[in-house]
Amino acid sequence: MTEGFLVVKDVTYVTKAKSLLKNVSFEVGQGELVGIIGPNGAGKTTLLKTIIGYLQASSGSLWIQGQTLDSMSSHDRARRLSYLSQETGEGFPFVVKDIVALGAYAAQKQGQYSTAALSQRVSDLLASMDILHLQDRIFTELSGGEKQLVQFARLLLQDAELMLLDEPTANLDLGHEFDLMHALRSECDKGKTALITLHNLNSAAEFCDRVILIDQGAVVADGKPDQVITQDMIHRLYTEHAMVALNPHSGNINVLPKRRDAADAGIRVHVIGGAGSAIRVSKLLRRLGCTVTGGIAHQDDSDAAYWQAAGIAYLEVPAFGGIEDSDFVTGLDWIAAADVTVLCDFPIGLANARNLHLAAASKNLIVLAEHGDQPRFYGGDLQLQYDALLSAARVVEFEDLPAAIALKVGEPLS
Amino acid sequence: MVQQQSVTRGIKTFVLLGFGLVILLAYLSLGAVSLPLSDIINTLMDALLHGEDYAREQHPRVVAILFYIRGPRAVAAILAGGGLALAGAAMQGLFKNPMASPDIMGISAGSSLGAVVAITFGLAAYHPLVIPGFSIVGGLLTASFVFALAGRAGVMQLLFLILAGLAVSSLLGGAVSAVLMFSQEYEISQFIFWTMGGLEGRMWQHILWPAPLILVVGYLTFRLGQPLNVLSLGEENAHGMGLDVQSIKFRVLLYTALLTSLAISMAGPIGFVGLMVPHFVRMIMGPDHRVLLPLSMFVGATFVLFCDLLGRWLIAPYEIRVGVITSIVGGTYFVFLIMRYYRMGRLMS
Repeated sequence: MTEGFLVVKDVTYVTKAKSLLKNVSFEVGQGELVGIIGPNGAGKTTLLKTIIGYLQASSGSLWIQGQTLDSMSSHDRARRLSYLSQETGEGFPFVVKDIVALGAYAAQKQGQYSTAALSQRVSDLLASMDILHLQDRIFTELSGGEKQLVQFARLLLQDAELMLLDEPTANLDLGHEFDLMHALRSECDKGKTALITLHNLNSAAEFCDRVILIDQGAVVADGKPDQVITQDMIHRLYTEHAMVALNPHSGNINVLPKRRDAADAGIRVHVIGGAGSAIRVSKLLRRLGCTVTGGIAHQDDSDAAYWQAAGIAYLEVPAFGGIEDSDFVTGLDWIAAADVTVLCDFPIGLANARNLHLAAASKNLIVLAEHGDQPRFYGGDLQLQYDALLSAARVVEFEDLPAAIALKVGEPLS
Repeated sequence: MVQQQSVTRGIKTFVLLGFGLVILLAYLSLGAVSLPLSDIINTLMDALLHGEDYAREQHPRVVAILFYIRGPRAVAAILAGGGLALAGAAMQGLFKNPMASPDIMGISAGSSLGAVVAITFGLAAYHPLVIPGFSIVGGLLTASFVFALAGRAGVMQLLFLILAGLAVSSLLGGAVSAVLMFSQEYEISQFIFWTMGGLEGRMWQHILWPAPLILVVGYLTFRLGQPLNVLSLGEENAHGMGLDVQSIKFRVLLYTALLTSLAISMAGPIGFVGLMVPHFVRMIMGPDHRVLLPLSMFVGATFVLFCDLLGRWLIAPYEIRVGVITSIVGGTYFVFLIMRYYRMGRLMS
């Protein structure tokens, strides 16, 4: 790993109307796959165009392997830097394999590649990308995604040290997007370097070594994906209607869409749950415009993880621990403050038994009907306590929850 | 697959070349006075083996017609047609648009003004090269002016070029009309005659100096084949692939302007050749500019030869000017194209 394979220092790009890049500085090491993210109009494309030299930086400097662009011939530049722009390549009806072969333009100018070797290399490349069947098709007649893959093949054929890609996955379906990102990842693992603008933050988190966040022409953050893509950043630069959560399956952060909630209904509901039973309930209540509180949950429980990601206030105790008096008292306060309390369908043992006592303390309790073949209560007289609870509560199916709450608070929910 | 493709391409090229040769022979043979092919071949053999004087003694009539009337006229047709078609192919490649043509640079209008000035100021009478000289100067000046105007917009774009070309063309059109208002009637008819585009009376002296220029610029244009292919992926991508985009654009425009002006100086403004021929060649040979550019030049030459042959032959001994025929054939072809595109629902072949 050589540090500073690409060095961008204080680069500014100004048009008559406004400055599109402001003192942008960063370095990219060899073998790194770096994602550039940021809202529309942040300056991502301008940055790539400036690095490739299509646009001339107003001030600042750029080095590739210690050399400036000015010191290279355009053919030399093409051997070190390649670029996939957002241009669609609409025009004359070229055949796909001819388009891909154009990637060798600079190499051919420098006397590499015989015609036969080139056409062999093109078919090998297309075969390795699983798009050999496209080779004799007319490029302009392909779907947007296929075109993008062909352009990517053309970029790979150029075989430059540093690849710059401007939203290469914009037109791709999920499968093709991942294929392309995988291919890029493995190129970088083999020692190539790539700088790629992306809108899909989940892909950025999964595939990139590093992401650089740009907003209004300036670098806002630069670091590992989970350091840059945070709830706070998403809310500040993109939207309120998304949440960042740690995906337990991949270990990566995920950015998830969040439906716009109804207007505040002025109803506060406390949800008692565990083992993931409270997620869909909390979601539904929020969508109906209720203020939701949750707990008491154990740390790392999936309900707790959801409440945290969704920004819902909740009570938490250490995993595998009991519920202490102090937590229980706070719980009682929250129950008292709530208009309605909902007890979800989840297994109860000695560690979370006090959740039943919390439920019992509620004046307005709704209990979700049991659905499950597994035994639900472990130890003591928990089953008896639960049965006693039911006599004072209303038992409903999930679908009937909105109606039940409306009945309790005496006003309809939208 | 690859093999098969290049074989069919080879056959098509061969057919096109053969057709061109047949047209050339027919051009030399047919006309107000027919020359049998055997006479033409014998004369050429004698001239090659024993010198022109010997051939002249043996076949005085054939030599007079072949060497001093049809020969130079055929060469003028070939160079003008080839130049215009090549210019059109390069222009369409540059703008990735099959409807682009060298005409949009306003060269025809500039050449017309040059010609009309030469005619009405009585300069045309001094030397047969005065009108061609004025028209080429007018054409090139206009092209530079249009480039300068369109280039102001930063990166030169087709739309700016078309707008600048239109504006300058109509300006020059007005200037031409103004000059004609103060002209004698015979001058007006001489000018109108010139605008029809024609090849009659072309002699070696008309061809001698534009011919090498067209060949040299033609060769330089051929070399832009692969760069134009690269450019077809878009300027930004092309830049990333190591193409010096601005220099290629400049060269295409310069060569196109030169080829067009030279062609017009020899044959007057012949319509439709630059637009139609590359289009036709692309339809049968595909869009690869390394093939398209030279073949367009060849087919353009063949096409103008063919049209001029028709013009000389249809109502012989009278002639229809070649520009009239190319416009009729070209216009018909375009109506056919529009209907074809309409059926296919798209605008690129």
